[in-house]
Amino acid sequence: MNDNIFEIFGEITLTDEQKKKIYENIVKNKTSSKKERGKTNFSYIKYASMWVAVFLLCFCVKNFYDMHNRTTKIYIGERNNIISEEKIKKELSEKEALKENSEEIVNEQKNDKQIFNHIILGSPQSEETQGADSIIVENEKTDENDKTPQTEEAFSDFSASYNSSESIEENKNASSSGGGAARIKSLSFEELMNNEKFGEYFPATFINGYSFSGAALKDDYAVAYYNSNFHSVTVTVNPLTDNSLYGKISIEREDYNGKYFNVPTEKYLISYFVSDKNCKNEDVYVMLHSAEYFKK
Amino acid sequence: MGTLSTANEKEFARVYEKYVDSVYRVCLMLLKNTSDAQDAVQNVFIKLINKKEDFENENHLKAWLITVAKNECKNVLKHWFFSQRSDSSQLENITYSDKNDSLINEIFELPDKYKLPLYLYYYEGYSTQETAEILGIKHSTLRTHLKKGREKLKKILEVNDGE
Repeated sequence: MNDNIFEIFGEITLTDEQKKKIYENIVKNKTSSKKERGKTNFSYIKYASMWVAVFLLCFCVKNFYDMHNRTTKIYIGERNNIISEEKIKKELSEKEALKENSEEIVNEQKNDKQIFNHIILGSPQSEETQGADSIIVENEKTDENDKTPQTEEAFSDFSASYNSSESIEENKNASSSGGGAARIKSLSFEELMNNEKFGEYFPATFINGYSFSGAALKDDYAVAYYNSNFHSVTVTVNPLTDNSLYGKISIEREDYNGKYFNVPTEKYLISYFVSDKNCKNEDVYVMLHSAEYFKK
Repeated sequence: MGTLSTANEKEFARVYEKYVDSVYRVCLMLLKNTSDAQDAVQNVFIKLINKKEDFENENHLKAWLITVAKNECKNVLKHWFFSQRSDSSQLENITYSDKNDSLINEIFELPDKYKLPLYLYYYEGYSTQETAEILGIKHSTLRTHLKKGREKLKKILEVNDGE
C-alpha cells in the first residue's frame, strides 16, 4: 500500500472563512457556536420538560411520604380541636346550670357518708394539682388562645362550692396527704355518659391525645370506665416520692369496667394511656375511688 | 517558547494559522461532523490561550494541541447532548476534491483507534514512539493498531479496486 495515499488527509482543511470565524470566536472567548449555527435538532423544550417532570416526581414522592407520616397526627389534632370546640360550647351553654346544680350535688353528698369518690383531673407535673383543694381541669389544647376562661370559671365556681361543704372538710381531715378530693356518686360508664353534670365536671382530659393524669390519694383505687369501641386502656400509677413503687393495670376489651388498681401510698400521680388511636375523648373515664367504695 | 495569551495576538494568530488544520483533522476524524469539529477546534485554541505553562518548542506545542483535541472530542462524544442528536455522523460538508471522495470516506470509516494512529504516523510524520505518547497508549499497542489499520484499509481499497 502506497504511503502517499495518506496525503489525502491534507485535503481536509477549513476554508478561510471558517478559519476566520473560528478565530473571531476564540478571540471573543466564545466557548461554543452551536446556537449561532443552529445545527442541532435537540429540542430544549424536551430538556426543560424532562427536568420539570423530575421535579414533579420528587414533589409527589415527598408529599406522599409527608402525608403518610402525618396522617395520624393530623387526625388527632383535628379530632381534639373538634372535641374541644364542642366541649366549649357545651360548657358555655350550661355555665349557669352548673352553678345552680353544684349546690344540689353537695347537699346530696353530705348525706352519703360512706362513699368517697375522689376525682381530680389536672396536670401531673403541676404542684397545684397535687395539693390543691380545688378541681383543676386543663384543656388538652396547647394553644394559649384556645383556652376557655369560661370553663375554668365554671370549675372554679364548682370547686369553691365544694370546698365550702362539710364533706370536703371531713375528707380533708381523713386524708393525711392533704390532697383535696371531690366526692361524687359512683356511676357506671353509661350513667357517667348520660350524666350531664358528671360529664361537665369531669371530662377525661387527654394529654398528647391519649394520656390523662391526676392526683391520687392513699388507698384510692384507679378504675377505668370506657366503651368497648376500642381495645384496651392501660392505667399507670406513678409515685411522686418513691420511684420503686408503681402500679399498672391493663384493661382489655373483655374487662369492661372491671379492672382497678389500689394506690399504695400517698401523693401518687395517676395516668392512663389508651392504646387504641381510634378511641374518642368521651370514651374513657378514669376515676379514683376510695377504698370504702369497694367495701360497700 | 512563552505562554500564549490574548495580549500576544500575533503569536497566537501564527500558531492558529499553522496548526488549525491539524487540529481540525483530528477533531473531524473523531467527531465525523464539521460543525462539532469546528466547535472542538475553537475550544482547543481557547484552552491554548488559557494555558499558563510554557511550551518547550513547536513540536511540544503541536503535540499538546493534538492531545487536547483528542481529549476534547472524547468529552464531546461522552456528553449527553451529543447522544441526543440525530445528525451525529455527517460528512457532507467536508472540503475535499471529488476524486478522493470515496477514499476519505473509507479512511473515516475505520475505527478511531486505527485511523488516528495512521494519520499521526503517516501524515504528521511522528514516530511510533511519539505517536504512542500523544495518544497515551503503549508503543506495542500502537504498532499493533498501525498494522491492523493498514490491513483493514488495504482490504477496503482492494474491494473498491475490484469493483
